[in-house]
Amino acid sequence: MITFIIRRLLISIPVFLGITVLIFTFIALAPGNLADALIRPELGFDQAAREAILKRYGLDQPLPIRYLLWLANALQGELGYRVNSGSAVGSEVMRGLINSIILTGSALVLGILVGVPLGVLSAVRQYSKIDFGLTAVTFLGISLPSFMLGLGGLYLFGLQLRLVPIAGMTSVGKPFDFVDFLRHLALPCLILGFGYAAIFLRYTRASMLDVIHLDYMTTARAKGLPNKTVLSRHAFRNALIPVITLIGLSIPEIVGAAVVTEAVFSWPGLGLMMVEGVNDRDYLLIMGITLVLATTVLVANLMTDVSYGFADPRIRYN
Amino acid sequence: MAVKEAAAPPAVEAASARHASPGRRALRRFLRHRLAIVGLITIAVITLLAVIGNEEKALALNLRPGFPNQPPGALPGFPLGTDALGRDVLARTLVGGRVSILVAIISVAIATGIGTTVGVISGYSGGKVDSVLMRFVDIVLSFPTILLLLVVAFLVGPGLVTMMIMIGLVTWASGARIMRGQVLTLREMVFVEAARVIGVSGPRMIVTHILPNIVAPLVVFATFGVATVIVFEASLSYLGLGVQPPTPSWGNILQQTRVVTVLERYPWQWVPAASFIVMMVLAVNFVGDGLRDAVDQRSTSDR
Amino acid sequence: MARRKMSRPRLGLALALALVIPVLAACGTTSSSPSTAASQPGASQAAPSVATSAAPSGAGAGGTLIGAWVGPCCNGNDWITPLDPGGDAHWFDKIYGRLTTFEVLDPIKQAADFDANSGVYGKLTGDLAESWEISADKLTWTFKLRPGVTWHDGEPFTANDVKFTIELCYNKKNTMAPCHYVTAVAGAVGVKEYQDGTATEITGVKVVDPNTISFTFTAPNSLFPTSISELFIVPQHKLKDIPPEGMKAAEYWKTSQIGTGPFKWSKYTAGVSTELVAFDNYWRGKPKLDKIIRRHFKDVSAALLAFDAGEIQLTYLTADEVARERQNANAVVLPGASGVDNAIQANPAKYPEFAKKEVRQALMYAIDRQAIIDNVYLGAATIVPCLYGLPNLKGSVAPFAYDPAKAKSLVAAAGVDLAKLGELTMDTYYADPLSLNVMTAIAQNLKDNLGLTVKPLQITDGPAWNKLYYTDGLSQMSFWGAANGPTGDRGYNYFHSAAAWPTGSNGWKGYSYKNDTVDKLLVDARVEFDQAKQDALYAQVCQVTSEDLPALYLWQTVRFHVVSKKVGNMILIPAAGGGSYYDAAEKWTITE
Repeated sequence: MITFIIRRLLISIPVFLGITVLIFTFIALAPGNLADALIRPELGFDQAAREAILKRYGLDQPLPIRYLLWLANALQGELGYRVNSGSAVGSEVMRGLINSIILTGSALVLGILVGVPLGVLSAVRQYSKIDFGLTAVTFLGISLPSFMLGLGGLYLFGLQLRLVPIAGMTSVGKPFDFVDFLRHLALPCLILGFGYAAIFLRYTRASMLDVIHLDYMTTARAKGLPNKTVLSRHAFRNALIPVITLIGLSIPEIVGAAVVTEAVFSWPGLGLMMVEGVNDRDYLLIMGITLVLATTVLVANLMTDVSYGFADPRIRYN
Repeated sequence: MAVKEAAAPPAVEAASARHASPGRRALRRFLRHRLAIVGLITIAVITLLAVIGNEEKALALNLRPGFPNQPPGALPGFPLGTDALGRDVLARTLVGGRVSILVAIISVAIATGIGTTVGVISGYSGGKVDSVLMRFVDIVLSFPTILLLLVVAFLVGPGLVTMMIMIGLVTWASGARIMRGQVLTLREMVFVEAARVIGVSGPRMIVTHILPNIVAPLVVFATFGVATVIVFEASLSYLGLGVQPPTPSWGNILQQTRVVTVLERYPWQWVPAASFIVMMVLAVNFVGDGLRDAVDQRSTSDR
Repeated sequence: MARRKMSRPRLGLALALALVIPVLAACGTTSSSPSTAASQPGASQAAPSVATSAAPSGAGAGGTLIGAWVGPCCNGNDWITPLDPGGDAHWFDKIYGRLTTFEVLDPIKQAADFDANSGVYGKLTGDLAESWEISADKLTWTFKLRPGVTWHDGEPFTANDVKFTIELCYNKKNTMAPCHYVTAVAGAVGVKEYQDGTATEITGVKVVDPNTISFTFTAPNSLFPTSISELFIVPQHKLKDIPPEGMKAAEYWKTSQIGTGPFKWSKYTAGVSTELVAFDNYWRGKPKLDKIIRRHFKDVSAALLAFDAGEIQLTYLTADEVARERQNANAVVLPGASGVDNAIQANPAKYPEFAKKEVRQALMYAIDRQAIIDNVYLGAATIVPCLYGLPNLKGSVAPFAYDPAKAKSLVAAAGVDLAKLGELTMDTYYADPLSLNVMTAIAQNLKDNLGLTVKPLQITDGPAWNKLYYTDGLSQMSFWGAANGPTGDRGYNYFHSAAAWPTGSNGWKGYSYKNDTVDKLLVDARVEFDQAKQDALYAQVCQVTSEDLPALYLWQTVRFHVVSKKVGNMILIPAAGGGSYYDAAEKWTITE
């Protein structure tokens, strides 16, 4: 196991570098550049000013040189400054990451805690009313676009029922209050969590159904083992594999998947920041966020692969 | 085997269940799954409605006082009312299905196809192949989607086909991870061992033993895909990709709800499209359930 | 499918992009206003007490106003500076002062009988300047500054601050987007040398004494007092030690901005809010409110819901939300001229058919503007005959009527068959559903009346649009907005041959508009000090351009804000880009 992990980590380094090269190149391929974003041409296109900006941000250099300069700086911890506000990329990304972790992270936890047990329930009571009911409700959560759920939720729970405050992470004009913060978090977290619960429920149900009817289940039951033991000892562990995969795939979503929800709820996370970065062609910011995203993906997938071994000891990677 | 096959009559009616081919057995199991049938019928009906939807009425503006934003029944000839430009909501909703259904099915097919292929090959082969393929998947998963779409759209130009391919390209990687996980478990199972011992070759092993047993997560993957792609497609048209309004799609009809007045006061403009999406998604899901039950050979009961 | 990349896509995409509402084009940096008193010396004005359209509250002092400055008016990201306020000038009014500003005539008129082109702007009046006069040779403007004005930190405001601000603006090393007041002082003596680096100051801007500053131009500039109203003055003593290259990134802008306005900077929380507190020594008097908080919203609809729930007291309203808010008993809707015309531009370099004047005129005749205004904008726009909409600038130029027959005959006479062009793409950077509906309606008109097939395309990514339209010159047809004020000189940047792209905004790669008559008229207007004569010159520009059609100017839109009834004495004329007007912020009150 240890060798496996070490080998993976070693391979991850060139993969990581490859990702940075790829994305750096892609940014350069995007139409228009930083100067287009900064200088609004309709106010008077100033060629000299444009060139000054391009020079200041190093855009007058050829692409490989720019990449190497960026890499050299990044290795020393120098990630540069955001184009639109001049704030350090590192601290901006950190700020966005924390906000995203709070929102998407809590939604993910909620989704898993609700979705997996309900998925088991659904599978055990297949084709019962509970099964249908849960199916219908979960699909409601994913068939509607997030902005609709978000605005609709704000409209219903925020405006009509006055149960939650509308938008933002905290109330303004008052000192920070944890309960107030939780009230702001509640609705976006629930809406996102709803979606995660749906997906975890369906996958858990599907893979539980897979194993529940297996022959060795029947054997175990025939042996006289109580159903609960059969389920938890045999069925559940094997059904875990897709769930583990899913968790591994969902963790990187914390880094910016919930863009629309962040926008509707004015939750300043990484999703919004990435959109702003692309809009500004702010390659330093985009690269900064990419570093976080790539790391998360690589680590999450590594942990997933390791977990497979614990869930199903038969799995080998030869 | 040869003897048995010669002895078994080809016609379905004559044979008992135990002698029918796996395909026939699966079909029979599917047909017994009532919800799946309902789902199939629903999909067929919605698709038919989309096809017969009146395209002219969906695009015809009525910019005269008394025509925009009318509720159902207020104007003769507009059974579901009108939208902000006086267009027929019913026609728009029906015609909107065309793009949504087409995009959903094709993109999901692309993504599921590529994802399953990569995942199965990766999981079954193991070793170096697995390592290389999964690192490739890592790269794809680390890619900021919005950047990818922007650049590709710029280089290739907007259009329905571009959009479908892009959605497929952006989503297959997670499918690959999921299928691979499932294959890893299957590979170690007794029946696979047994088959290998008898000498079943790799490709045949994959087709007859592995694939039918990953139907469960595959079906969930594809089902979710249909739902999210329909909605995803709406956001894409905002970037100038794919189907642009005024051509209707369920997704871009739902965009109207960003205006609070529409959300609150003109529900007839978006509730039909939302309902169609939900019905479509549920139907696809039930069909998927039926498919899984039908194909799953590990089930001992012939449900 | 695992939801990664599928639903709630990192793709907030265009969706989120649209929500982010990038500052684009002439989403107006200025408002329209009559250029009255531009050439006359301004007299010192005591702060006028004007009735407002918000119901006066019985409230005395105190309270906190929370508002969402969002929408096309504003920048979309919560970090901005007064040297490049873009759409957020109205916010910076609270913190900073200007040399001159416009009075507002009668905001109550806004609520009823609103005509975007009638304007509610009054006279040009002094803000930080008390009075100004022109020299005998018409080359030098001398401004007398108001004595006794202090900065928020107590330091006295002097002419040195004014000179410093202008030189900061023109300093090429300052990587903030160049101050758009470039046109204001561009003709001053010594600007070129300063920008080249051969001089360390702009010699034409002279500090005569701490309360007097003079501006000497190379040629007479009658519009200077009006155009300088757009410039916010920043403090020399706080900024002089920050190198210009690092100006944009300076921490100062996030922690301790100092101005001369009624409210001073208190707290900035990135992505969340900006707080201001009352400045007790404001020269017009201590503000009634204790605090103003700008709440940051990425989504205009969420801001509206917050308003309806009473969490904020001010927000932006799109035209399609107005009817609903008019029924809100706790709110007052404030309309205002946007100062932005919408126009269509066809690309004659790509389609020589559109190089023919008759074809362009045919397009104008083929679009039923009034029907679109009535049914799509729900009345929130007014037809313009040319770039200018204000009565004094447009003279008696009549707009094109809706005449499909005339359109067809013009095209036929030009020997052109527009159906042969195939399908054209009409691009726009506007991201909202309303604009899309408008473009759809226009496309329908063109199809029905001229057989021209046009497909709208919303390109919400700013740089992509800029590249398509300006850098590559590949746009086929475009729908955009153009600032149309505060003076007719705005037309210089669009029509004069000296402003051809890339120097100015006239045209794009491979094309620019040239008309010698218009060139001369625009230049003559700049040196005409008689108001009536100047107006007549602009009216002529209007006449010529309405026939020649460098672009097809359609209408000027109305923009709206909605304010809680708890707020009193508010003057808010939602001109995109804020414009410059006296909004009596120190008089605003709120009942809790």
